[in-house]
Amino acid sequence: MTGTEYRKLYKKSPDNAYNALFESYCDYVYAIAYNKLRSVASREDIEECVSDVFADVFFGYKKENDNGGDMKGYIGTVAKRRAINVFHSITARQNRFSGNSEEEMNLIGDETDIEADSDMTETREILLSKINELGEPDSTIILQKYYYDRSSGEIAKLLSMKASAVRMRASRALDKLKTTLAAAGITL
Amino acid sequence: MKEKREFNMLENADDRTVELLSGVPVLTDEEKKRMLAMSKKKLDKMNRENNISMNNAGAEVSGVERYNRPKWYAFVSAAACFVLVGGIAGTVMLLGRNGKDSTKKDNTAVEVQTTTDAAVTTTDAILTIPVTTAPATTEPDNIVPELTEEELVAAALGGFGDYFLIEDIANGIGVEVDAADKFTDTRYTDYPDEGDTVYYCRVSDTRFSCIDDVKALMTEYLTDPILTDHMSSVFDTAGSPSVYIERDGKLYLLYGDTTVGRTINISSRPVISGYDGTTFYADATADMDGSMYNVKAQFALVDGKWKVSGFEVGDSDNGTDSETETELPNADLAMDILEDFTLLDSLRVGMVDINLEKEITNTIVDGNGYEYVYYKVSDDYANENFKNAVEDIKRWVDSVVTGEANENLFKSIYAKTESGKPAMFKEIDGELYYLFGLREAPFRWFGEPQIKNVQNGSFDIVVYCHAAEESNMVKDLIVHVEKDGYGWKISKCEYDESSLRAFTEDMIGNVNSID
Repeated sequence: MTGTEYRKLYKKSPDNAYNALFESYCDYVYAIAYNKLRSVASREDIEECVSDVFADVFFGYKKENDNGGDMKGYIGTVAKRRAINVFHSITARQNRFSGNSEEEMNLIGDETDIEADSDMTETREILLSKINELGEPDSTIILQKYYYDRSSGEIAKLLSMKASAVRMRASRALDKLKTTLAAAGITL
Repeated sequence: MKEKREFNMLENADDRTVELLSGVPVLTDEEKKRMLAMSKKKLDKMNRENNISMNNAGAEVSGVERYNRPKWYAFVSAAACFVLVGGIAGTVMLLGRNGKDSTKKDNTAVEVQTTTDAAVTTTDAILTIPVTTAPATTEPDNIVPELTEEELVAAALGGFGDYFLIEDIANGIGVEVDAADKFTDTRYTDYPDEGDTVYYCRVSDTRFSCIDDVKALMTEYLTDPILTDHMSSVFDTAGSPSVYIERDGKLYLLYGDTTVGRTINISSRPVISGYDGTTFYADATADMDGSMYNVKAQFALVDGKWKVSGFEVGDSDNGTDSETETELPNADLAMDILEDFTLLDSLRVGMVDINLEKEITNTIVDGNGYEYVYYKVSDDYANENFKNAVEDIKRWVDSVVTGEANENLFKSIYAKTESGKPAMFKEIDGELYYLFGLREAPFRWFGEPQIKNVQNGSFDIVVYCHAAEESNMVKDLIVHVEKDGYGWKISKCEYDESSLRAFTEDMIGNVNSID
C-alpha cells in the first residue's frame, strides 16, 4: 500500500484507511515484533506491541511521511523501534540485566551487530532455504510450529487441515529437515 | 522444546529474513481483529493526549485533568433527568391531602440539620417533611462502601426519582382506576370543603391489589422517618379520608372530579453533602410543571440500597424575587461554567470512550462520499442509565448552553447541524453510539478566568488560548454567558483576534484544578 493510496482512503474514511493499512501490513509488523520479542515476551505482549505500532503509524504517518510512496519502510522502522523498546521494557522488568547473560544482551535488536554476524546470517539462510525445500504445506507448518510456536490445532485452523494431519506432517518434515541440515553441517 | 529452542537462530534476524518469515500465515482473524481494535483504542487515547498536551503547552494549567475522567459522569445529573408524568387523580383529593399534610407537618416538622454543607439554600419551606440526621435503619453487618461523589450523585438521582414516584402513588397519580366501580364515603360529606363529596374508585392498576402492595412499594424506596409519615398520611388518617382503603376484598382509591397530572424533572446536578457511609444529603433544583424549586433529600443505606429518609421542598426559583436570587458573576461561577464548557467541547470534538472491538454497525456517507463511522459508547454506566440517551444529552446541553453557542457550536453533539455535519451521538437499536475520531480541534484555554463586561443578565468570561498548535502566541477566548431562566448559560464563544500576543509565564496564573 502506498502513502498516496492510504491518504486517498483516509480522506474518504479514516476508519477504512486504518482497516486497509492494518490488513496490508499486520503480518509484516507481527513478524518484526515476534522476531525481536519471541524469547522474552508472551503472545499477549507481542500483540500489544503490534497494536502500539499501528497506533503510532495511524497517529504519525500523515505528518512524518508524506512522499506518497510505499509505506513498508516507514512501518518497518516504526515496528523495529517499538519492538526494541518493548524488549528493553520487558527485560528490565524481569531483571534480566542483573545477571551476566551476554546472550540476552545480544538479543537487543541492534541491526548493525546482527548484520555483522555473518556466520549467523549464513546459517539462517541455509535453514530457511532447507525449510523452503520441504515444499508446501510442510515449510509453513514447520515455521508455524517451531518458530511461531503455534499448536497443531491452531495451524490446522489456519491451513484448513486436521490437527492430526498437521502433527504427522510436522513430525515427518522435521525429520527430513534435520537430515538435510545435517548434510549442510547444521545440527538442530 | 529442543527444536523450538534451536529455531532461536531465526530471532533478531535481518530484514530479508523477517520479510520471508512475514510470508508465513500465522495470524487468525480473531487475532487481527483484536489487535486492530487495540490499535484504534490507543490511537483514540493518543489523540486525546495530544489535545491535552496542546492545551498544556508551556504551562501547568487548570482543567486538564478533566479530559482524563469519564466524560459521562460529569453530566450524569442532567442526562439522567427523568420525567414522571402522572396519570389521573382527583383535585379534591390532592387539595385534601395537601391541607391535611400541612397541618400535620406544622406540628411535627424538624428542620433539616446539615453538618457539613453550609450552602443549603432552602429556607421558608413551602412544604416540609420531617428530616432528621438520625441514622437510618441499617443492618449492623453492612459494609460501609467508599463511594465516589459521582456514585452518590447517581444514587441521589435515582432516589429523587423514587421519591417522586412514591409521592405520585401516595396521591393516586398515575394509578389506574375503574371509574365505573365506585362508592361514596358518607363519613366525609363535607371534606375538604362544605358540600364536597368524597368517593372512591376501584383500583384496576395491576401493580396494586391490596393496601399491602402499596405499602410494599413505599417500603422499597423510603425508610424512616419519612416512611412512617407517608404511611400515616396515606393509610392511617384521622378525621380525613384515607387515600387507599380496602372494601369487600378490593382496593379503592380516593378520587375526585378533575383529572390532573404533573411533570417533574431534576434539572441540576445534585450537590452531595454529609456523606458518612450510611447517610448523605442531596440538594438539587426540580422543575415541577415548569416552576423551579430547590429540593433536598436525605438518603440512608438500608440493606445495601439507598432509600429516601427525608425530603424537603424549598423556595421556588421563579417569581418576582428570582432576579436577586440568581448567583452574581464571580470566580467560582466562572470556573463552574468553564467546566461545563470544557466538557461540552470534549463531546463536540470527539472525546468519549467508545468500544472499538464491537463491529461497526452504522456508517453515514455524506454527499461528498465521506464516511462517518459510529462505535458503541463503552461506558457501562451511561449505557445502563440512559436508555433514551440522545434526548438526555440534548437536555443537558440545553441546560447549560443557549442561543448561538447551542445552534452553531454544540448542537452537533446531539443533532445534525444545518451545515450537514452529523451528530456526534446516535442511538442505534436503543444503544448509544459515538462518532469515531477527533472531528475538530478543541478550544485550548488556560489561565485564570477573568470576568468582564458584566451587564444586567449577561457577562463574559475571558481566558487565554494558544493561537495555534505549538504556537507561542496567545489570544483571548471570550465565553459569553447569559441569564436564562433560573441560571446562567453559555450563549456564545469567540476568539478576540485583536488580542494576539506572545505567551508569558504570568498568564498561567494561580488556578486550581477544576476537578
